[in-house]
Amino acid sequence: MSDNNIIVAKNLSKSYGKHLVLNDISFTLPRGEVIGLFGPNGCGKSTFMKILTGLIHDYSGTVTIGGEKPGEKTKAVTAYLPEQTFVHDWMRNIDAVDYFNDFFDDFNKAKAIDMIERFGLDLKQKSKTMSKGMQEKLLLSLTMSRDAALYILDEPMGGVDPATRSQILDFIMKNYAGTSTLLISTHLINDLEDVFTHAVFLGDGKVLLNDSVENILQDGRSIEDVFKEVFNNVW
Amino acid sequence: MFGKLLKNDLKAQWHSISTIFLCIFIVAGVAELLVLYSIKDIFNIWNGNKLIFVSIGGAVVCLAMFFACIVILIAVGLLFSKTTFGKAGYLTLTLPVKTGSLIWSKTISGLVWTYITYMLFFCSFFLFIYQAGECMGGDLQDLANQLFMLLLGQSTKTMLSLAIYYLVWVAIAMFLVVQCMYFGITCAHVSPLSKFGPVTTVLAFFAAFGAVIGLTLLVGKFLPFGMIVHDDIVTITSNVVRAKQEIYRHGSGFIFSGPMFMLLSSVLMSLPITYLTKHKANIK
Repeated sequence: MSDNNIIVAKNLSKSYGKHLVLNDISFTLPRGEVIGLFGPNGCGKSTFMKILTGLIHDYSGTVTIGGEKPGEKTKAVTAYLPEQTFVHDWMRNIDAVDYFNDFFDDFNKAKAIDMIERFGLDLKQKSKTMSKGMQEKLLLSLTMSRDAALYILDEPMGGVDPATRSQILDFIMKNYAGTSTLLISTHLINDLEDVFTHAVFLGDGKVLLNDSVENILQDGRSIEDVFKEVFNNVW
Repeated sequence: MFGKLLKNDLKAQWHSISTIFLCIFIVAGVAELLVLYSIKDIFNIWNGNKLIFVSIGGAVVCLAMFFACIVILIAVGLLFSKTTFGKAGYLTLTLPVKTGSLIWSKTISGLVWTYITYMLFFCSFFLFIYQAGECMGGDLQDLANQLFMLLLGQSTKTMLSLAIYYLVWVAIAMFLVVQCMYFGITCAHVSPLSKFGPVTTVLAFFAAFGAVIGLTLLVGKFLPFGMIVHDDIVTITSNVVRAKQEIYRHGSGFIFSGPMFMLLSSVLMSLPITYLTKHKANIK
């Protein structure tokens, strides 16, 4: 394994019943890049992220983060933002901050509180009383307040309006440690196009493209153009 | 790290049950006030209906606490399911801690709340009998006296042994119930059993619980190791039944082997729960 690669997947397969989502895929993802994970709904983006974070176990093949299989060690250096709200119903925002502070050594409590306040959220508000957009901001504040080696963000701007989207994007880019790797899955290619340095296209159970953005855009096309071209040929 | 897990699990448990428990305790409190006023008849309004009011009040207190016992079990199970395999599982299962620690923390926190609730239920039951006896005198008073004489008539050492044995036994039984429940819930999140959802939970719970209880009875029957308290002397014996028949006819016997087997089974049950959670169960 090259030290330049943070994620290495070998012969990775995962199915839900008879539906094969990941079909014997092998690929590597480089360290220190902002990586876009693209593909249509149901192509396995979230499944791949759940495998990386140790939430799914019944797959075949291997996957490693920094040479380690998903487990206690990799969880300590991976900050994960799932599509779902993961904060317990009873927690107020400040309780969620304290929870992260209890368990993650790389968590910066002061930074998290500062971020939450900048987003205009009340520290004493219960998470279940907040809107989808507000919850998204809370979760991002918590996730990005970690000084992790790998950030895995699953649809970080899924349910928010365009104004908030740009605020969140700006926020992500300002707050992730520059030496870290950022793996983002999204359908909003236009909004994020400028920030990606590497792109992976998943579709039909396979990795259809895995290259640096620089190489992909050599002939003047946008990532969205390439996306349409790749997936029109597949689906 | 385990201390932090336990602290947060106890907190989460408290938040999930606090509202409904508050309601239950208010109902029980009001009913208990009815009993107290009926007994003392401060305003002299109960006349000859004292027994009816004491009975109703006492029954409501017992029923409220019994309801709390059922609620706590459901709440403990639901919270385990939600925080391990539900939305909150995205956070719980990505914490950099050992899966075994996660499971043990949830087991202990669930056991603490369950045990406290069951103790309150038994206290309410004895309080009811005591107050009914105090109120009525006569036959019911005799009944209550007989019940307490049955216990209090024994020597202090026997009473103490009985109390400790009972407290430990209930704790072990609660431990087993919580573990079987967690086992059932975990099985329901393992492919392909997950297809059957809550049915898997119920079946796995009763299968595990039934197997352990059946084996516990057998162990108690064939290995009746325990102690006998007789004339304030505690004697440890490998066969409580025979010793009681042949030597200590008026002593009180306590079999250890059954509860010890149940405790061991409950502890060992954390192994499949941890294994399934770590290697087989999926979050949707």
